[in-house]
Amino acid sequence: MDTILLIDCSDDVTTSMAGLLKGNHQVVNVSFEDRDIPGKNKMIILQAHDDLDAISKKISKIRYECKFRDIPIVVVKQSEDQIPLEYYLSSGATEVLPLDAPPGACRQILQGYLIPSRKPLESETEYLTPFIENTINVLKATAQMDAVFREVYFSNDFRIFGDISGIIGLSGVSEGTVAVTLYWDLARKIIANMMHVADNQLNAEYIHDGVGELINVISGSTKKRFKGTPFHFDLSLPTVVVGSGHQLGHPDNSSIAVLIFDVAQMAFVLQVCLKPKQKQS
Amino acid sequence: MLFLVVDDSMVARTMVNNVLEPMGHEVIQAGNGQEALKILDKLAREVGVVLLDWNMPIMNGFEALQAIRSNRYCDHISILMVSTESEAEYIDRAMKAGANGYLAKPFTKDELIDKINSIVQSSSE
Repeated sequence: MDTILLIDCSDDVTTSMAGLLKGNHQVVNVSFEDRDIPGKNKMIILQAHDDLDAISKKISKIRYECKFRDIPIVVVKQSEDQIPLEYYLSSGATEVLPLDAPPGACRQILQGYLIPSRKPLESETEYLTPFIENTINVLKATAQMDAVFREVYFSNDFRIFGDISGIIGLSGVSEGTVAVTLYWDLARKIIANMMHVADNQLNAEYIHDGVGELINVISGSTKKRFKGTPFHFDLSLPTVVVGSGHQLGHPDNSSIAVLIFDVAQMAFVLQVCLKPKQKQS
Repeated sequence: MLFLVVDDSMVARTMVNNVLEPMGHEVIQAGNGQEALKILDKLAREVGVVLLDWNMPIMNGFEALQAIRSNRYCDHISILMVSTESEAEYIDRAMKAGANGYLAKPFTKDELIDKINSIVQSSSE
């Protein structure tokens, strides 16, 4: 049975959420300090309170512990709470629900987040597999690190929680974008290994530049696997974006495959958005 | 031997630098083809090997390769293309334009050392 984890929720909110989420879910309320590994949970619900800084830090911490898994974090708040939604969303929350919203609407919103992500189609597997294999190869060859592909989910959300992303535009027979997103600690470790130096010898400029080089090498080495297929592309120069909760631009009306990798007890993601160009009639 | 390492990524340049220097070579760096040509205007005699990335802003590695090969003061320089562009036609174009070798990214430290040893050996013959 899937677990819905409530964190620091009052008895009233716990009862209300249990009522809304009844079904094949176990609803458990714990204190923030006693929380289980969030990756095991289907959804995490926090109750907002007056200490905004504390709730923001809790959301960020939980989002980090999710290791890029597609686990919705829902904040429930009092109706008189005038804090802009963006405050919670930029910390890592997926949704903010006012406590006085109609139960039917709340139930529908919550159930929507519990729908499992679809599996990749055969045509998607065809272009995702080379990206997965090459990402592992690149990490091994350049940073001497063993990355393991964990899972894929599809998203239409441009927001990704991590500290730094390298993104590269693809054009030609196929078009789209590929981006790698990491938390700062793992980015530092990978770039230090790539340069054959100790972690503490790197400044932010090197990490910034190195993440651009990383996505360049991943995309470039994958490109040749698509020679003669509808997925072949040319590369642009990479761009790097820094900051938690940053947004990456992908082409409109495209689903984004989010590939999660584990490495050195941390995680990073590769977002792939690739679409063969429509033939002109 | 003096190496000119040309890549728009500072990390890629430093990574190569950190392999070449312990091998006893000297290294100067450039961030694009145009910078590389400016350096060669002054130091063509001293430079023995140029390592050239392909995709760079301002002037890409292929344009720089053509410019170096059309400069008679650079005839003695060996050129190793080091690039993520690893499809056969890119390698063909580079070799026909006068590159002495091609190393596709990603590569291991050992693969880089082997390629450098081989290019140094052939340039001293």
